[in-house]
Amino acid sequence: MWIKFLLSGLIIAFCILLGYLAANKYRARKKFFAQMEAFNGRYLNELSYSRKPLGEFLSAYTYTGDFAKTVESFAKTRQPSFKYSFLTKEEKNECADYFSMLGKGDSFSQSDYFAAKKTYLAEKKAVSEKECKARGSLYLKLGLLAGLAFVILIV
Amino acid sequence: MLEFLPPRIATAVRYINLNLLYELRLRADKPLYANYGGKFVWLGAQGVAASASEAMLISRGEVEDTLFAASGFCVYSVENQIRRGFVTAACGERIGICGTVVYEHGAVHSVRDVTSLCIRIPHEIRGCADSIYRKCLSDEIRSLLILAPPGEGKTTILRDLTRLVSEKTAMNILVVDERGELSAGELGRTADVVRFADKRTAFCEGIRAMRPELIVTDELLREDYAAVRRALVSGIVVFASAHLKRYKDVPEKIFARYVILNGLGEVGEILDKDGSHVD
Repeated sequence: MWIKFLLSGLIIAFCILLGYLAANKYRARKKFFAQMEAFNGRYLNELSYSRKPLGEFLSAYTYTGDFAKTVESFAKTRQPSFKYSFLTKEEKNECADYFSMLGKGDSFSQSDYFAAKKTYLAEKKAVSEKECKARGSLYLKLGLLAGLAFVILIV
Repeated sequence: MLEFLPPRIATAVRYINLNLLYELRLRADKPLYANYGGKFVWLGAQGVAASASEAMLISRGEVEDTLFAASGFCVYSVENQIRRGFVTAACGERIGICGTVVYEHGAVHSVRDVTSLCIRIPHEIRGCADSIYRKCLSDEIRSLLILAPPGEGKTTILRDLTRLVSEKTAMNILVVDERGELSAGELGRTADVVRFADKRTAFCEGIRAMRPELIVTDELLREDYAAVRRALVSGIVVFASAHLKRYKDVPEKIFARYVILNGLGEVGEILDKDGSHVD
């Protein structure tokens, strides 16, 4: 009897885990756009005050996850990397365009361009947060349901 | 040093002795030219070339890439320098820019279509100012002006002189480094540096904020003499240099000593305030 309970528990836990992993893409998107929005804000501050050289600015702040890899790749090679499945083709082009503009102009024109990107990035951050919350919760529930279904059918 | 050079030019430069390289001239669609050991030579893919036809031809893209790399890949951090026709790279290399000047509201806004770069490579030569120190400053630290045409070592000597004075007297020294070249080397433990500020601002604010006993600056122009005069009147000693060949061309005779260079780093005449020779 107790083996059945244990097995049921394991199956349900496993299905919930699968549900959690299925929502990884949305968590990654949320983190990426949150960090990119923060990066943009910091860059605008930099342009309006001390105007450190780009290399110094890039190494002044710590980022995590995929955005950190992108910044690292840009700092080393001036070619940012966007090989992430959670970004659409259009988003990859936008990001590539964003990074290609970094440093390419005086402070006035840079401030203009990156201030215009504020709205776009704020929108992406808000949408990705909403998506992550909705999908995350949905996939966990689906995982739980699937686990229960397996338990009923098999166990 | 010279990390910003494009790969092809960087490779060519590796074939020569960097200690003897004073200047590199990059001109779009023209051969690579350099001041090597005091003489101008053509540079090819493997060092000094016998003639212009054997030298490496520089592309326009390479000129632009060099400038962008030298600016740390960010124009905004050097926009004020570019407006004044130069960029100072990370190791103090001063890069003069030639291109099309863009004006806005009557003032220089930027430089586009850059076609020529003059890269001056700083060298620290310890001891090059020993003779000047011995002849002019060993009994008393007094204001002096070094005179020579461009490229004869004025900045190198000023840098070494600053270090010497700092080591021997521990005076509080303010280095007004308008173009970022003076501070490309050891200046001593008592030197404070203001970089990329115009002389008027740096002198005025520096005197108030840093209370220097000695101010060192480079490339005095006629309009800078007022700031120097104010410092001298405040009891501050000033070391400076000017792109002049003769004592009589100095606009205001306010320095105690005038050191005229006679060739690359060679001290020629030393004159006092009245233009008389000093032994």
